[in-house]
Amino acid sequence: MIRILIIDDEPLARQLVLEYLEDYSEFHVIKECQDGFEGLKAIQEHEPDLVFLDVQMPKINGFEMLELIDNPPAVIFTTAFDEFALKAFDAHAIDYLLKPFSKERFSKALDKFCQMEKKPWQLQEMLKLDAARGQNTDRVVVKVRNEIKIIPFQQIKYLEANDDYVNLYTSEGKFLKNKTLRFFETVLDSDLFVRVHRSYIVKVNEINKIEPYEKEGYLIKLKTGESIPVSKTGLPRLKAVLGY
Amino acid sequence: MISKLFKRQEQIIKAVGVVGLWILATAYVIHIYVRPFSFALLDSFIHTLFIIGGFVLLENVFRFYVPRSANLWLAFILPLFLTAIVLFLGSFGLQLLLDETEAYLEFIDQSYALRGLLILILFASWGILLWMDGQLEDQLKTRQREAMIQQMTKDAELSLLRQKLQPHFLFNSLNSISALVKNNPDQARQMVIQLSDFLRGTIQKDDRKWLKMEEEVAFLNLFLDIEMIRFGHRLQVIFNLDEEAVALRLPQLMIQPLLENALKHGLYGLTGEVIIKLDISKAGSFLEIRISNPFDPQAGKVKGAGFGLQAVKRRLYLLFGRNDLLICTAEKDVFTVTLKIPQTYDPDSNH
Repeated sequence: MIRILIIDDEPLARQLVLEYLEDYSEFHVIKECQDGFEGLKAIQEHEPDLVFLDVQMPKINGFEMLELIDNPPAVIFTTAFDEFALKAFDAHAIDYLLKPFSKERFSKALDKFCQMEKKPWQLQEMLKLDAARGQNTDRVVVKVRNEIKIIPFQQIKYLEANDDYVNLYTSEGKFLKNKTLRFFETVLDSDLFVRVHRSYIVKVNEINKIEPYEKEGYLIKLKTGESIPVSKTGLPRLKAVLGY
Repeated sequence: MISKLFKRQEQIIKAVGVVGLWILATAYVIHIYVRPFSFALLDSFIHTLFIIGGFVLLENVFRFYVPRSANLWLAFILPLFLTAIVLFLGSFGLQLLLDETEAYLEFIDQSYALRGLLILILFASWGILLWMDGQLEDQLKTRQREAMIQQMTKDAELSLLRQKLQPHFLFNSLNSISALVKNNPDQARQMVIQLSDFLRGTIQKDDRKWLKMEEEVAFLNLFLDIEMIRFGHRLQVIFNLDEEAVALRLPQLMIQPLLENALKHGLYGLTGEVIIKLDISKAGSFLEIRISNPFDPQAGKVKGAGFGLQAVKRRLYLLFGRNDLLICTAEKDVFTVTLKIPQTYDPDSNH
């Protein structure tokens, strides 16, 4: 038996998936969720085999929800229209269903799932793509213990590389995100944020002063007191943004 | 100007008459100083011919190149140059035709300065006349063209701003219909009709034709009915139309984009129940529309949002030339837009 979760904020959209699934006795819907928060909880609780996931949903979208899960399940996206996402789907998703979709199209997606079940799962790869998200938002979603926190980019003071993760620093503290510094360098506004070091990106507005440090080195002092090193390649970038 | 003359026969006759008279008159003046009359006539004829040639030349130059005020000196240099040529050609021609008639040649030598001055005045006047004519025509054409371009860009922009329909709305509505077809065919059919009527309301019409309030309200209700089918489980809309506002008019598709924006931010910015308020009233000489939705001040805004607001703002500017007709305020967790439509519409005129 294959255990299925449906996550969509519109009841009629969920009803349609349920109806299409009626003919497949081996697929069993264990739960329906109406937003990403419920979805996240249900995935962690029930560990479904397959998720039908809407992209546009209240508060956090489908991609943002998936980012918060360490071992995401197999996903078939259902979406009305999302040109950024479509590119990502083509490359890495099991399948995506463009609403409204026919029963034939739906069956094909299920067939694909059955064929691909044994293959290595590429969702993590997909989420790394800029196209999957980031390009059309200016915020990042993180998990703090059991809470979900939405951090607008403008609230970030600086970012620090931490192995495969990034530490985001805001006035509320430190948050861990499973993305690379390179990713943030591409999605953050380059007029506001500068990569001053291999391990650091700083928001320009937060800089209080720049001091010489040891031989030929520099150190940024933030308004809130923290010190951030500037590398040799970072210095010209910093100068360019500050305009001197 | 000369080329224009050739377009109509009677004008050619008139022009030839004027030239003939001119030749006779100048010949008469010359003949006062030197005889015989036949020589004076020949003199006058030859010079007049060359002068007309000069006129044609000047006009052709000015047709392809109208000097701007910065290099207006060209308009004076050219006549000077032409005068020299005409003087030279004239005396050379006469010398060829009247060889041996020394008295006349002597007269030509003596009258160089006077002839020169006269011809120069003629050319200069002609030059100024042509220049002014060119300037006038130029200005007129530029002004017409500018007005045309302005109207065209305005129309194009207005229709573009109006027709920006949210694809999400359309495809999700179709998906809802697909879900209803089997279990609730009657409601499915009703929704198809509502969606069609709504779409019909978003196309057609130009911005100069204003809608009656009842038409607008019917249109907004279509939109809200469709959204209620999709989100009825968590959406509540409180719609209040003041009696005073019932008789007013407004351009099409002003309220709906704002309402759509409010629904989007309420429904996608928050979980749980969402209450949207829509108030339409009369405030002085304005129709006032107030739409409010709850939002989450903590969450970052989604990019691309706010296009609806910007489009309405731009349209208001294009229609009324004012930037203060759409006001957005955020208070705690409620976002409110206030739209004012000046009641300047006159149903009897086209504007």
